[in-house]
Amino acid sequence: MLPIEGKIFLLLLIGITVYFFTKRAQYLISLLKLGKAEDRSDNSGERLRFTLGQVLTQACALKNVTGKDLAGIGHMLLFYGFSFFVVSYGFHIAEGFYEKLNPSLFGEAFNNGFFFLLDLAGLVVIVSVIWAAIRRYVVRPERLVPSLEAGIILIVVFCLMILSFMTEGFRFLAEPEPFTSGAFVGKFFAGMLSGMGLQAHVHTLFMGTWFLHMMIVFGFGIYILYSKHLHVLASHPNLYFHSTRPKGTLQPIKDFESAESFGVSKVTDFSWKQLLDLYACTECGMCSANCPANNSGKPLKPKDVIINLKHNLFENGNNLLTKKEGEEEPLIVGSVVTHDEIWDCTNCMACMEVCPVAIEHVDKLDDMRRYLVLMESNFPAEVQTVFRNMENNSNPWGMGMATRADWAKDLGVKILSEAPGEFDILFYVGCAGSFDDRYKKVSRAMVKIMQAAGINFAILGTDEKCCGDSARRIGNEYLFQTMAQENIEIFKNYNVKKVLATCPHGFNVLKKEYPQFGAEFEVIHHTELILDLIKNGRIKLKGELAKTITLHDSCFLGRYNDIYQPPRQILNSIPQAKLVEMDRIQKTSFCCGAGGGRMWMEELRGKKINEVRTEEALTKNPDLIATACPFCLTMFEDGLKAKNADEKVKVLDIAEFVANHLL
Amino acid sequence: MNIVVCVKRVPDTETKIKIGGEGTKIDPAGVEFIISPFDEFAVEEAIRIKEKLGKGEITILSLGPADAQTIMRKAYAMGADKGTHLNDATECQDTLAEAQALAAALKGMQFDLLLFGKQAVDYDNGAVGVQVARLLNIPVVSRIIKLDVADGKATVERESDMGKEVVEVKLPAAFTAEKGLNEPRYPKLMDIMKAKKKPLEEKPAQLEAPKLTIVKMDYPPARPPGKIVGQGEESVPALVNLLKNEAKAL
Amino acid sequence: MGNNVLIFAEQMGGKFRSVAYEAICQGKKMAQGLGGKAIAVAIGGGVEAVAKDLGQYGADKVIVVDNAKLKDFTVDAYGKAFSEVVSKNDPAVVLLAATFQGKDLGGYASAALGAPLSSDCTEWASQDGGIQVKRPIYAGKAYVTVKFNSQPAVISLRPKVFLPDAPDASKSAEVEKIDLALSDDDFRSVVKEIITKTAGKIDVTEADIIVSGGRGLKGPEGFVVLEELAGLLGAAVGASRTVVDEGWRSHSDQIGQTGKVVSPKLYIACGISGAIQHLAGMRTSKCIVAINKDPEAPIFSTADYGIVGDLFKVVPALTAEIKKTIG
Repeated sequence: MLPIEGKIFLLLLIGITVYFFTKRAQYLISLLKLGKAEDRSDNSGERLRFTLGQVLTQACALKNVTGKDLAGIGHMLLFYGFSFFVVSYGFHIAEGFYEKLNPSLFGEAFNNGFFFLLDLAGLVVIVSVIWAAIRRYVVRPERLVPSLEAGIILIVVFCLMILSFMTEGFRFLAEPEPFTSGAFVGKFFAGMLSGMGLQAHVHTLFMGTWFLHMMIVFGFGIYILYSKHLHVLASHPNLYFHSTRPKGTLQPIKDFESAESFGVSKVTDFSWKQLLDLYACTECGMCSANCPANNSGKPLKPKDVIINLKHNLFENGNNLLTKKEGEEEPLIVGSVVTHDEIWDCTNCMACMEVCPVAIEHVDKLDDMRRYLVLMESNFPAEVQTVFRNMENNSNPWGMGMATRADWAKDLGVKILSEAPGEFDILFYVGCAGSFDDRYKKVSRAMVKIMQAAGINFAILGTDEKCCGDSARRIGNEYLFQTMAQENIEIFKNYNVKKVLATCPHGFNVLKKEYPQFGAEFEVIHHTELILDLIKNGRIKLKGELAKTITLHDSCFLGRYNDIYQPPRQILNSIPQAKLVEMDRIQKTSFCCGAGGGRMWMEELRGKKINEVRTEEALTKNPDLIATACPFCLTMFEDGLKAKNADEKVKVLDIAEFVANHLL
Repeated sequence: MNIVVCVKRVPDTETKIKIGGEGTKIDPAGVEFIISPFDEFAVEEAIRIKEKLGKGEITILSLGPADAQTIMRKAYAMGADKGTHLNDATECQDTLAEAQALAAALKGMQFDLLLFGKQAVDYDNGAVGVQVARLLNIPVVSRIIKLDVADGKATVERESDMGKEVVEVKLPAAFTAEKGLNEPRYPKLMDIMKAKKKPLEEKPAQLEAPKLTIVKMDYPPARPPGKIVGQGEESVPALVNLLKNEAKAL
Repeated sequence: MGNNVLIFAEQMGGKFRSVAYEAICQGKKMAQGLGGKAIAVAIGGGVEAVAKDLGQYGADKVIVVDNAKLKDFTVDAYGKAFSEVVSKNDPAVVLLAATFQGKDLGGYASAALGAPLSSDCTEWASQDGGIQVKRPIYAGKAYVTVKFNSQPAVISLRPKVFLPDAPDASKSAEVEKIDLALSDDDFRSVVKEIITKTAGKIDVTEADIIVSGGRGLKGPEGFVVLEELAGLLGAAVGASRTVVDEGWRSHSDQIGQTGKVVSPKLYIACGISGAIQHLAGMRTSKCIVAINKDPEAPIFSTADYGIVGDLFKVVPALTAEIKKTIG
């Protein structure tokens, strides 16, 4: 299609583009290589299926669509529309060198259909770009920060579409035999342009707009690698290399003896995948929008953590690559990511649940905690008491460990430390269930339920130890592993096959993190067990509960383990109980504020997360709030007191609801 | 500045004490042993002085059973440099004999400061620091809450019944640490790892025959269960009476 | 082998303290059992004038070491003086009060004389011609009965356990004044300053008594009633976390898992429900009093004594009652 000069110019353009693209891509890859090794080569088939599934169906963007936030649909339109254009650019370039290499190669019908769809896609892209611009600059939702980059990209994309239509228009005018009848927008442009007296110059104008169009396309291709639109390329590998570990599990530190440092303090302490996360970030802000710390006015905004790390990586990139042996590398802990941000995280995983491109925020923050705790011994002062209490008495409150099984006295419970025996289920009571007067009632409720169902269960008694979840989440991996190994040993000695836990933190860590250290036993949560017992008719519920109940999803039960339905089904099986859902539930449930070891820390910044959540619950005017976690229970009881609603509204564990209504 | 800190391995303060077979000792089964908390203040203070002065050596001295080395390693992890374990398989119960054995070991050591906790939270006599100082003929101030070292002198603060005393002491001297002296650190993991490799010398404790004998060990009378004294302000006189005469808390 | 009991008569500012009378009364009883005398030892600057009064409590004789240099207590100087008196008198028992001074001197004398020592004794008995004592160990979680195998035995008595008999004004003691040569070596430690206790705010971690308030106080102004009680008792005022969160009290007063961990002799919890996060900070207090309007409040299961009622009525009544009883 092009004259020889044009072909040379196009070749030159391609050459320049390939040069800059490759150079930048190599640079980006070399930065990734600064990261630590991490094996993500497993399950390649599954990874590919996941990635294609997410991208092609746009499930990644659509999963966050709600009545209030339709932006995911906009992304889908833009994605499909622009993808069509990417294909068309292939044809354009090919056609530049040899005019037969265009869609008509596949027949007239294909050709017309292709251009019809392309023009349609162009309109869709224009609509979605305008929509995006209105959102960013007029509506301004909190999660989006208007940026120059975003503006440039929207304008460029908009111009590309218009140029594309103009090129088609001029082409209609310049070519005696129209290249297609499908390009209806192009035809419309041709009609407009024809009346402007440009007939003498239409060929030149066609070539001009064509080249301008292509130059912008090539320029855009390079710009992508320099801007936040890096996600257009980086999100795919990031989805491919997503974590296939059990959901929400932290990676163990494998070697305490010979390692020279622990955790993350410098950018190169991250793994290459953690750095790839930074490239993949779309800056959509869904993570921050769902973050309890951010929503309660704290410094932590997960998106900012990722973006600041990315900017820092790019700013220091050259220095890092040319750094000589022995030269100090700048710390990111305390500067790029502040201590407040690191300690504000409740590990609730809301950020990761909504992230469209599989970024692992919590792991990064917890890795930085590991550095602070293990290398610097630098953590909120009140945490030291918790560590010591766990070390000396194996519970965070420091209650005497000899009193661990006192709650079970006179209940007829098999206590293994006093008399070993046969049992089907080991009831791992946990620290709250053993020592907290309030949660001991839940332990007793569970005993009542299991006795009513005729389950042969036992407790470890004074041989039970703290699960160590808080130690791990606070960053004391050494203490955690010591505790985990000790527990696993005890479980083995008693030949434990199946464990029941009431505390979702104990449940999660025993079920999903202990296997990292050789644990081989089944773990169930009490809501799962109770639901089974109801379904199998092993327990029957009586009486009526003509009350309005709202249910709070514990993060470590819900997001970490996808256990959303059992508590709901249990409540619904109590006659007359009226379950009213809160606005934020299940996957986007809002944390109580106590996860990630926050239970043991002062909440000095922003509003109290538990009060924010309690306010949300109170908008539903419940008589009762149902939880299935000792931390959530405490946080709600405190929240109700703070809101002076503790006389009117009570908090009960699911087990208590059931125990109160046993036949 | 060379500092020697004497530490003792004691049961954790939350331990439920069970009296052992012969009725004169506790049953150590299931007991978590720790550095006596007041000794930990002493270790922390030694490390802070060393950090402040930028030089010096901290030696840990501990008299106790073989397992005492575990808590010595904890002091190492906090920052102590080396130590001597005076092995006592007899579980000596005589404070004076222990002080004499410690003093005998200390006679061969060079130090400017000798630090103790104000008492070991097992036998709670609170005498060893003063006893050792007297046996070594060095000055001693007990229960200090502040310690400054300069020019061969130490200026310390301590609580007394009259208020707070500021005492100036010529070095070498001994001090016993009271709660409030500092907040002991939580060791860094690297230091815990390094602690395993620091030198630890083991010697038998030179214990003389005890000059006292524990005839028996008893449990205290059971703490009466909590009681609701009454309703409203009418029950206040009864409460005050109980606080004064039963609990002896007023 | 002596059979006397030598008793350290502790004084402060030239006046004997009640613990000195407690020790002398018990020392006299021990001496009677041993067939010896009760000899009190008074050390200080300007103690001679009051020394003979010790006879009223049962001292047969008072040895006085009066020296201007001994105005302030230091264990080095007092210890030297005391041990010399002890070794000259060859007693069967050296008796002190288990106060700060008494424990220091006991340790010093024990080392100087090679004498066995038992601190903080709460019971004693004559046995086989000697004295046996009973004393708490492991912070009172067990008691030991101790027999001494050599003389003298250095014994300190827990204050306020043995109450002194009423003084008998008809009795007086022979006073023997001793001059001791004190060298510079005995003053390697010197008291430079004594900062007397002021009425200012007491830190919760240092207080023997804590009056603590929770949400039941209804607002920062509610703490006035607690301040009054605390002022009377010389107590610190503590607070629960919710109260600190509300901004009614400062964070430095917060008691609990994430605040200060305290263990006072007496803890008075007013309007505090007693959730585990609070209990973790105060449950090792020796005596816990709870005042709460909710009879179901968990604090009552931890408290030694509880009153169910309106704290705004109970606490002022308590202040008035204590004022009346103790003065």
